Amino acid sequence: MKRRINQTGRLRLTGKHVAISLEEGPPRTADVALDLDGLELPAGARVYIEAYSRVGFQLERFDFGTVSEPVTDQPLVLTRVTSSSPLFRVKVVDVNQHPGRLLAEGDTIAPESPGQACGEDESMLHVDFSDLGELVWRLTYGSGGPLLELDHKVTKDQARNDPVFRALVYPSVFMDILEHAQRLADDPEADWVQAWLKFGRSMARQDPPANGADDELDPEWQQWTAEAVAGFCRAHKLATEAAKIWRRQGE
Amino acid sequence: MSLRGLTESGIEQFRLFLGSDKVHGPAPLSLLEEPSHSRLIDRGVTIEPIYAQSKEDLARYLCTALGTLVERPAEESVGMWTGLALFYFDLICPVTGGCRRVREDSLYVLSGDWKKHHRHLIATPCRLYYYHQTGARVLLSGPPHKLGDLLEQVAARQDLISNQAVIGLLDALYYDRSSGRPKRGATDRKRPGSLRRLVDFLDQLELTYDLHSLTTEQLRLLLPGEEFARWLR
Repeated sequence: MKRRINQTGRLRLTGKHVAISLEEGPPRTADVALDLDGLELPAGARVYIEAYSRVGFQLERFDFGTVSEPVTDQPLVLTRVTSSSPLFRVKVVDVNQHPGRLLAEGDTIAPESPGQACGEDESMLHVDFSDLGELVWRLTYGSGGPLLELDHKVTKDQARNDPVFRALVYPSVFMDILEHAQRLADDPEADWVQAWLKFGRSMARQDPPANGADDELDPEWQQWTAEAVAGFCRAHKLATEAAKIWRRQGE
Repeated sequence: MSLRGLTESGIEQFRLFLGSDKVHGPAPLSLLEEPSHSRLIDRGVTIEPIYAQSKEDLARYLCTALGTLVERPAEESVGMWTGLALFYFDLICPVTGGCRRVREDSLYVLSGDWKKHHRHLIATPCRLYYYHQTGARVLLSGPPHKLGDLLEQVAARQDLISNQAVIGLLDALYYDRSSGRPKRGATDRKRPGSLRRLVDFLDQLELTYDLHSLTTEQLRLLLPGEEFARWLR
């Protein structure tokens, strides 16, 4: 089990402190609203905004001024981050006592628009489309949680609404995420894990096992995960909806 | 030749060539002249066949020729980089003893898959040189047809290769000035202070520090001394 320790007491920035809205343009711009009041950060600490894509080679960094004087008069112009699902990171950095040390950080902040997620909970599962060759989907995990990558031959509409796609892909995606989350269940800093376990609990209609799993073969977790996935399929009538399509195709 | 990029059909033809027996013969440069397989990118940008001993030599030449075209977003530049790979195919896949040793497509055809994207033998060295010039020499040493272990291990990490201080640290730790090559054992996974250990250490440090705010010297002072000291000699 992995566990991160916050030895330097850095603060976590959440949606309460940062709001980012994206305009596709051109040029593509991001408006950032920061509210750092009450966090007792040094006035002179520097603020940086990073736009990035979890899909590879894209990172753009902006100097956003200081805690007391943030640069809020101009939107950030994104030229290198072209991903359909960009994410943002906000860093407040010490410039005096320990230069470069993070005083506060918010990561994997999704902009308010455009709609970039699909599946059951738009804010939980980030989706990106790229060239995966003949692979239809792939899950990858970063510090901010799972990213569902779909090959660009799949359309957003198919990913959201096609009953066959939903029935064949999302249960496996959900199971993989729960299996990954259970190994990090004891990590208090992994917000995404707690969110998915909560979602799993609502689908399984029972609490997950008390402790994180040491491996994916833990029988208690296996059973709970299977219940959650079955509940998910039931809640959305995945087999029934897919069968309607197959029947129509057979007529 | 004015700079031309391959179209989708040109890329397909290039892929077919890579997978065929003809690959040991001359590269199909005619694809770069046929309008159905390629299109002009910029009449003012010309490229010529060159001899390059290292990735740095090739990247320096191309960065001068291409200018800001190097910065084009990945999805808009697949045709350009793949066309360049075709044009310089003899450099990045040389004929030795009558044969070419062709490796996976993503070394020659720029992949849209981020797990393979960084392996391109033209695009990755050019981007590195464009942003770091000779500062990236430890990553760009070695012949153009080999990505090299060092570059292979860090090129996939955009956060690291875009960071001037990290590139400077790589140079300080692993570049052997006397030989002009990476120090022996730098990519040996079992060796203390090797690149793999450095990447693990930077991953850990990133939880506490903003690496982009640090200089190479500040990063160096944060290294666990006993493990990395020998590499700094």
